[in-house]
Amino acid sequence: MGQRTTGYQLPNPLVYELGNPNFTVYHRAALGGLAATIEAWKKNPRLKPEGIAAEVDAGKVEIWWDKELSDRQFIRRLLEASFRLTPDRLIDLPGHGIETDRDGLRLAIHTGLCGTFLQHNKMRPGEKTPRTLKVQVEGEEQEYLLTYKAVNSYAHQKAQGTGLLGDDDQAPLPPVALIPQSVVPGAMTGASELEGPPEEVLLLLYLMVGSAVFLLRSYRHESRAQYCLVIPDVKNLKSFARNLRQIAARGANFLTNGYPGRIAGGAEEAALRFLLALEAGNLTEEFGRSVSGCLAVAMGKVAWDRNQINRSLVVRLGAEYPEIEVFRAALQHFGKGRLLTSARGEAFPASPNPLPELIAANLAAERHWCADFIQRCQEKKDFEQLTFQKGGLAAMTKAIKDEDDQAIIAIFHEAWRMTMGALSERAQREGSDFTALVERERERTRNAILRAKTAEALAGWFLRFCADATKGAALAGMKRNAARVREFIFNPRNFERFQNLLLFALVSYMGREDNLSEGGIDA
Amino acid sequence: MLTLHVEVPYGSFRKSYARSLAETYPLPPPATVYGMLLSLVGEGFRRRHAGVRLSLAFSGSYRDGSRRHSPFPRVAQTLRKLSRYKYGEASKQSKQGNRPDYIETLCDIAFLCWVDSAQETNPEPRLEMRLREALETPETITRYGVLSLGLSDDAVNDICLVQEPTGDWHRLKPSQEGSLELPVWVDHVGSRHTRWQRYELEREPVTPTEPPLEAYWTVIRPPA
Repeated sequence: MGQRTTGYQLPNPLVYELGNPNFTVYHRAALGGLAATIEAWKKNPRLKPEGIAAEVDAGKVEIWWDKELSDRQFIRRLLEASFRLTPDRLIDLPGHGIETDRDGLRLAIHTGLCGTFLQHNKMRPGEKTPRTLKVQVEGEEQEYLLTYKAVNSYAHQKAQGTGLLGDDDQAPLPPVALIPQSVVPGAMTGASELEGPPEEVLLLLYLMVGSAVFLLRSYRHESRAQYCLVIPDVKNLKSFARNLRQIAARGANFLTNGYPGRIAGGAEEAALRFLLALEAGNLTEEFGRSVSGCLAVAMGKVAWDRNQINRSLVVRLGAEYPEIEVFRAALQHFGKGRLLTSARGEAFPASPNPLPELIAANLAAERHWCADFIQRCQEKKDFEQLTFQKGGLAAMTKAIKDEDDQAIIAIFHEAWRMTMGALSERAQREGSDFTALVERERERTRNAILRAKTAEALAGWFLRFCADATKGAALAGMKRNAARVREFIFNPRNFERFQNLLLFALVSYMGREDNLSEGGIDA
Repeated sequence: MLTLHVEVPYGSFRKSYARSLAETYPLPPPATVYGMLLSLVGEGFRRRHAGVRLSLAFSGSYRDGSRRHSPFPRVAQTLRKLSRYKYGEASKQSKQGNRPDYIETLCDIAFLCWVDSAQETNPEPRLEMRLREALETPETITRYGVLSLGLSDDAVNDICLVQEPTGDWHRLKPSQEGSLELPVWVDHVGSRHTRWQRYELEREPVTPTEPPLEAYWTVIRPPA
């Protein structure tokens, strides 16, 4: 620990600039959280701390306070106005702008924060018996009964573990403050504690406000991640503060809203959800994009440490991906988190559909968006489930930008439509069940695609499949893109991509009868 | 000014706040490169060459000449035993101090490093001269250990002087609004004195025929 004998005085006014070269992504996210808190005081002046004034602009936050206030009194008042509790003993961060009747979202955030920033009991002393809360999910009539740990106070309210506040408010500040794990997850105590100047540590307390927390339910069984923190790289404070409020606004159709909105498959999905939600806020804004990317930190139990929730994965995500629209379509159709009710009547988050998680993980790793789709088709049970999700899969098909992908899928769909036509004729001729014939043909096609072991074998099968469908004639799509398709399918480097695309095309085909029964592809 | 070509098969440059899951910076930080240069010339005092300017450019192609998918080196995450050194007591430390943890590692790092000693604050010999001597007449240098970039595991595969760089290189440019923050001075004890600078790695590679422009230099300066 640093020297504590000499006093330190905070500069008044205290100015935090986003462009400070010494600020990391954590500082910038925290500054976004501080800006959001100050903007919340403007919306609701009764929250504003007495004797303290603050201004926010796109790149700077300025705070000044009455000269009669000591530095510690200033910090105490600032924190009291920034980190609050609801009457139900849920964590209430004014910067998030969550209205009093939005308990679902508040409860999800409370649960996430208690498992990450405030994972140690001493950081959030509270009641031993869990409380219950009834939560209404938008679009559902049923109310869900969720349990949570009520807290009496939490570390950020008193800057616990930093050394910024003590018993004597008139005592000078230490020249060096500490950065505990409750301030920056992952900043565990090593040979010595992490340290920083008092004003920087004070700022870092707002990281909890500036970052978004998600509850993870991953289909990847090897992953034990339970929570995900999304730490945005803020580049416009004013715009970020406004977007953060919009995310929590009642009735807004954002993907991170409500309790189910905070249930994600994986860390990458959580991060992209948050980025898309922020971007949606920007559509009505005159400001530019508020973040330039984010850091997604998955946290969960690891085999060598049973006591703590450790960081198990860190992923950096940019704000732009060429096939982000495919993810957006997947999210709109399959991304809604679900709650299940146990026999005792308590609700718990269920695993969401794996498709958004798969696509988000691919985009974040700069893989092809459809990579590893084969894994969703290897088991017959999983594959059959996919065939019931045609509406969403067709919307994803429409969102694809890559011309090679578009061409392959379009040609396959065209050939499949003709194959179905032939099966229909056969069903009429023989008086057999058309649906059963289609099922059998689909299963045969799935096995043929899965069994191909080389690019050549798969290309051969594909050309034969197209030729069989047209009885030797050329498909219109094939005629239009002959050179492109030939180059693509015979390139061994494209083998896995080609295989994944064919499987995707097989499950995403939507005939006229599907359109009618599902209310169109936008259903 | 001199230009060095450095190749490191793998390296981990742990972020200051990452004490669980050793998350790495996406590129070798200037502070680490400076440390490696000091080690190369056998200098034990970190402030000895304060004021030296470094400029970095990262390879845009693999060793076989094929173009890299991304200008950033690939990141691998592995599980390794990590010494935490937090318990202080020898018995507790030996039992609980060494546990596995996830470690991120950058793979296949290759970069050019320009060194300019014109603004060094200490008397001669300058770092530039000492580097030239170390590479041209290594028998005259007193140093120990295998040369590494950061951790001692992360050995340097090749370091040599370059007259005229060839090939594609992505230049690292200091930028107030850059998306990368890299330390230019590291406080290894408590992070209080760690100083960062923001950078942007240019997406388009170039073949640098001229010395770097003023905007591309980073001054290595300890905190006041």
